[in-house]
Amino acid sequence: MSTYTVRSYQRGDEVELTRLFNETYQDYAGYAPRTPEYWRWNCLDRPDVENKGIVIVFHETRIVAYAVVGKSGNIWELCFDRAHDVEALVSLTLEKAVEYLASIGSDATTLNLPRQDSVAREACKKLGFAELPPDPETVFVSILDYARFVRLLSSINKERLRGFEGDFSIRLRDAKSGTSPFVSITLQSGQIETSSQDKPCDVLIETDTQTLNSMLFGVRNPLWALLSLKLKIHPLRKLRRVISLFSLLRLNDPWFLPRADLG
Amino acid sequence: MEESNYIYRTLAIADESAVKELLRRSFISTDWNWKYLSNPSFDPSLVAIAEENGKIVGCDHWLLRDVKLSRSSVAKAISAGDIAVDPSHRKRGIGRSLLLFQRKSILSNDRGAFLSYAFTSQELNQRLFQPASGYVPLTTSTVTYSKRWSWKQFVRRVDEVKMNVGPRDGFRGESHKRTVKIVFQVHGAPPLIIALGQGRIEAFEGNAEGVDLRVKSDLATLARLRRKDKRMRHLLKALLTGRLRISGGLLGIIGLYQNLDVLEQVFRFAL
Repeated sequence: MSTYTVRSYQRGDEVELTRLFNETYQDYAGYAPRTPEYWRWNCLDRPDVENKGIVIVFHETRIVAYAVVGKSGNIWELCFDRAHDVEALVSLTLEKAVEYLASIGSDATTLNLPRQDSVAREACKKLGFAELPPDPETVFVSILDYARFVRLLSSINKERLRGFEGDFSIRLRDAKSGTSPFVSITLQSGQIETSSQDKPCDVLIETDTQTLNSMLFGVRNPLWALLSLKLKIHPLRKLRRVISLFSLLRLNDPWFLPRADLG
Repeated sequence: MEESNYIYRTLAIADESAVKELLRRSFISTDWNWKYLSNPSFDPSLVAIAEENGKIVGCDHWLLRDVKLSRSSVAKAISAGDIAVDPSHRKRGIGRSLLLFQRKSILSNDRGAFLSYAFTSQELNQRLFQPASGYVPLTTSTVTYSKRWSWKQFVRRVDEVKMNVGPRDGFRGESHKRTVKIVFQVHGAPPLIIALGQGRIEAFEGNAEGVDLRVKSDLATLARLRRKDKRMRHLLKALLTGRLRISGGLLGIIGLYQNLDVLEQVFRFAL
């Protein structure tokens, strides 16, 4: 730990800080990727944050960890270089964050970490942090354009969809205002086409907005939707194809919400 | 008054102070200038306004920004921000109409966004977001940690709590209630003593001598108990598993029971 040095934010650090943020959370989805402009607004200009509340840890001349600590006690961002000793970096950064908060008269602090980050979470526990129960106030998602969203999902999951072919049409029973009630998906020879038109198809899937959203975001299993009568498949013998389609299309990467993105 | 009396439109420069005032009246504490005006993603055409006879009675803020959908892909998405309806115009469908107005407007002016997300509560989602736009809750991999080392700020806020709790909830003059002095021993923090009853609320850090009741727990258990959902279940579970220990005489327990509503408000306002 003695090889690390600490100082607070200085003008021009944001390029390195945003690089570190994007690297720290590269395996996660759900947050706004950082650019220096976004970071300056979200952290540096945040009314709750003063420059001395941005704790930066260096290894030689390279930034290897930082925390953006608000006067309210919120740690808006906590990032660390995974190529280094994560436990040492998290411990050092949080100790400095708590020192800063105690110096301005704060009582407590709160931070978010990804569930998969076991080393960082262990470091928190060793410093006396308590894991709070999951917050019921969370993130809710809605889809505005299904055809384009499915196209994006198919490009994200291109490898998984390789060799899967078929003509599917989804009909929404309760399409929300401005959204087409139809999505047609054609998968053929590695090519994927989607459209908002009602086209002739091999398999017709009837469902509602909430069920479709839940299946595409991986919140709900298509089999569960079928058993709870939220999903109708014509012809029913294509059930396994439909389950495969949604399992291959769904978003898989875990969502992580840094506190800075919440408010 | 019918919903059709309202006009829906996008934000104009002249609306700024009326929108801020509406948010204030709706108890939404937001630094509007920072959160929206200085935001690199701010676009006034993504702020919807509900107006009646020239008066702004509702607003809904959307921001167009990039969001990561997977390890390798970033998409344009709408981040749904503060939505507010004047308290005297609520339950007339204005919130829903604002959301539908925004939805139609974003779809007719193609901005490249095909997804919208909101950070809100289950209750507000079920009442407003889900029926209007089919929002579904996502399970995330986010874990929250907290550490408390002092109660000094809490103690300072208790003065404010006295004003908020007292007159409205009949706190003053409750002479039938017992005075009770409770010590809260939360792992990692110094003991907090709260004295309640007969018009009195006092909080201070100090030694736990001469108290009527001792409450020993940890931050995670207290966080569960602060929530309204399944509170009784959490309380029983915490007591049975020993994560919440209450010790003291019978009179202390009666005093705690009689002052439970006040105690809840003290924690809600001051913590």
